[in-house]
Amino acid sequence: MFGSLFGKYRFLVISIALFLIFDLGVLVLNFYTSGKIAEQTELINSAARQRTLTQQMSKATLYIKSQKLQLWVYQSGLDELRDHYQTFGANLEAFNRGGTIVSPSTSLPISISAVSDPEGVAILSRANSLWSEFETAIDPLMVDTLVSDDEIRPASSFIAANNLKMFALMDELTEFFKATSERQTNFLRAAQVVGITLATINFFIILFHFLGQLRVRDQEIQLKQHESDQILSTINEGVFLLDQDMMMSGQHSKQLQKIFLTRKVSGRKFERFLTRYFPQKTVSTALDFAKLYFRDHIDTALIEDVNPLKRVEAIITKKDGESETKYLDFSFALLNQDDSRHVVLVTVRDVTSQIRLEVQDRLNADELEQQMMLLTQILPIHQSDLAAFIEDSRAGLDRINLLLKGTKQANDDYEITLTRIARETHKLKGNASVLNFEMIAQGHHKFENTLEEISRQSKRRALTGRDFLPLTMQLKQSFASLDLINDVRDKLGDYVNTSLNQGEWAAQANSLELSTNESFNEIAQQNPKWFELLAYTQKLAAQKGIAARLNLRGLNVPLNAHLSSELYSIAVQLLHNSLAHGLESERERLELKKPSLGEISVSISHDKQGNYRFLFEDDGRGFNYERIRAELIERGVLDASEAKILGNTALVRYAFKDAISTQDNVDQTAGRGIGLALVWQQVKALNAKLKIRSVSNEFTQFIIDFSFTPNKAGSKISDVPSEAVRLVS
Amino acid sequence: MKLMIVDDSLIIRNKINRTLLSRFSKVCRAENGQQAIDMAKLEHPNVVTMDLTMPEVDGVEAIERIMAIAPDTHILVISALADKATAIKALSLGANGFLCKPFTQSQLSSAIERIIDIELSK
Repeated sequence: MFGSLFGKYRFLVISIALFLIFDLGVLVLNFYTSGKIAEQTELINSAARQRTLTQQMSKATLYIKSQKLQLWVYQSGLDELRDHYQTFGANLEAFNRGGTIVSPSTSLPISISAVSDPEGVAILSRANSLWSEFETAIDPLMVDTLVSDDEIRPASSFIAANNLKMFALMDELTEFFKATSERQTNFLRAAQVVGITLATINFFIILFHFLGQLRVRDQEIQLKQHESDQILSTINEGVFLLDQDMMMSGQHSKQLQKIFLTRKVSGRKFERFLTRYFPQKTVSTALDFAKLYFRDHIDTALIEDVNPLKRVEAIITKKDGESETKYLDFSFALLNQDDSRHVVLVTVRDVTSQIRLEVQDRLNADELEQQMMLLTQILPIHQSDLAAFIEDSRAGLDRINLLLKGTKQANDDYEITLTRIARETHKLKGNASVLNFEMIAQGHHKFENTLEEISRQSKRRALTGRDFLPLTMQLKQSFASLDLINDVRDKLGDYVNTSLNQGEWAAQANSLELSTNESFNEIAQQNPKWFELLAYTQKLAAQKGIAARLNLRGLNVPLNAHLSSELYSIAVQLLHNSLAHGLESERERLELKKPSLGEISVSISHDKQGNYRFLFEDDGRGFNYERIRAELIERGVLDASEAKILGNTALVRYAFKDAISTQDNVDQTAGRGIGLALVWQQVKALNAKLKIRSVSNEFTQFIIDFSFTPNKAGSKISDVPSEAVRLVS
Repeated sequence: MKLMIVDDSLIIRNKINRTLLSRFSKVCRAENGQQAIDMAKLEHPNVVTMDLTMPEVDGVEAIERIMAIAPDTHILVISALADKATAIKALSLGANGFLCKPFTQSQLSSAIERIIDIELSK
């Protein structure tokens, strides 16, 4: 029972018990022996008194004998003799049998034991036998009456004769008691020496035993400390213990310091530690979460999901004062200690690179998805068209970039810059839409939305260069998308060239009810980009819920790449315009007794003098002059009275000059009113003449005349002076 | 042993019911916190699955009041992880564990198994 009770302290308890037993033994022995020595001292004194009594009895006898004539003196001597005689006898009896005597030193009665030592008994035996002779001699004097001289003489003679014998015996008895006392004193001394020695030995045993144990324990602790230090220094995670008071332990892994770039970790309050790296809300939620581990009712295996420090973003300040963002993953585990107190083992892992990899993976997956989407869009496009698209788009983006760079220097021409950027963007969007690059077209559409937002702000306040920042970001994305297309094109290589053969073109053309004077194959081979407008028209018309057909003529005329690209761009804008504003719905057309299918025609023709004509026409509703007038009033370009008197030609000029749209809703193809302004911009750039014919509910024609010498290297357009728009109605 | 399912979604209630029906002698259902409190007073369920975001009385308040009525009730919070702080509050008020929506039937079974173990080891 004690073994289990005292456990590892059993040895200590036994040693202390032995120490006490030794000390107590010596104490008890000391007490006992001291008592004995005190008794022996009384015996020595009593024996010495017997010796004195012997002499006093002799003296009293002689005194009675010499003074007997004087009665009162005689009587006193006799009384003294009787007194000494009785005392001697009583003491001797006590020595023999034990009993009570009067202490010579204190005159108090004391109890003594009978002498048992053989040497003492022998002395007493001789003293007893001599004393019986004394009694015989003295007894006749122990009467109340006067005694005669005859009675005194024999007693006196006997006492005188034996007095010295008795004295010698009592002296011998005294020495015997002295010797006995000395033996007891020696015994006591020896016992004390033995007891103290044993206690001292026991003390040293305890001392050395515990010193040894302490040394072993210290070594074990040092070993464990060393082992845990080694473990904690080599462990690849931040590890520390958290107690119920939310204090961090003194020991922690070295990695913890590396993760948080600090040495101030040991013994800190968890809350203060977290506050340095996380927002206050995260810290308070994390503390509440950590406290759950110390709640008895919680099943800790079922709370890991609500851990607020799982893959959490930490802002860690470096020594140089700069901040570093890390992603950390804290995990908690409840540990039971020996004393049944609980602590939580907290493990911190730096998962920054893992999370960045995951993000990169996601981006790669997005990019792959984008590439796949592009692939499906690129495959049907002829490579030369694709190359031209990439080249045109890059040039357009470069121009926008230059315009945006101009906004960094403060100037008052932000409005003009916005208009120029809008025109460039619209052109890019048109090109992308024709080629069915939805992704790119959407990007440009968003860009236009941002432009409009900036334009709206410019009406409320003066613009600064900072307002153009969102455009810069979006432009970067546009460049990136273009690079992506280029990459995909490079990866596809020649496959694109062979992806659609002539037979496929022909099949597509038949389905589009192509109406053209030239050999279809000739157009498809030489101008696949133009050819794709056929499909684009169908698609756009379907989106707008109208029926339309595009007719292409004269596209095999010799034009250089730049001219071809500009005319193409104009055709796209006018096509958007026709489909958005020109052609009526089937129902409307039937009500107007028109064929249900709207016709759009694009042709390029030239004479031998190098005079070229680009003709775009549709059989739609013609210009909506009232709508343009209303828009001009609404925009504040003209007041109502001015607008009223303005002729149709002037109105159309305004429509081309200012971004006016007669469509209520903005979509990816039309509605912003930029298309016609862009056409006008390009016509001016080509030094060409623009004529417009429009008859209400009949048709609209856009005629662009220019000069061009195809054989001259580098020549583009002859020097024909530009004219204003001429409307022929 | 009685189970009470508290969730405002019928689909979730049905899913929990299907998964756990065989483990309990009786299963009752509540659509919001107030119903859960009323039902807890009547039925004294041993185990409760509790949603947090519900109309009228929300899950956190329901847990607090059910624990006041019957402190021995074992509660598994089943909720989406929109707000960890609310889930932690529910746990500190007496819920025993948390299961994140969406969950599989095996995740629910093993979580309830742990909760039942606590109930049986009382």
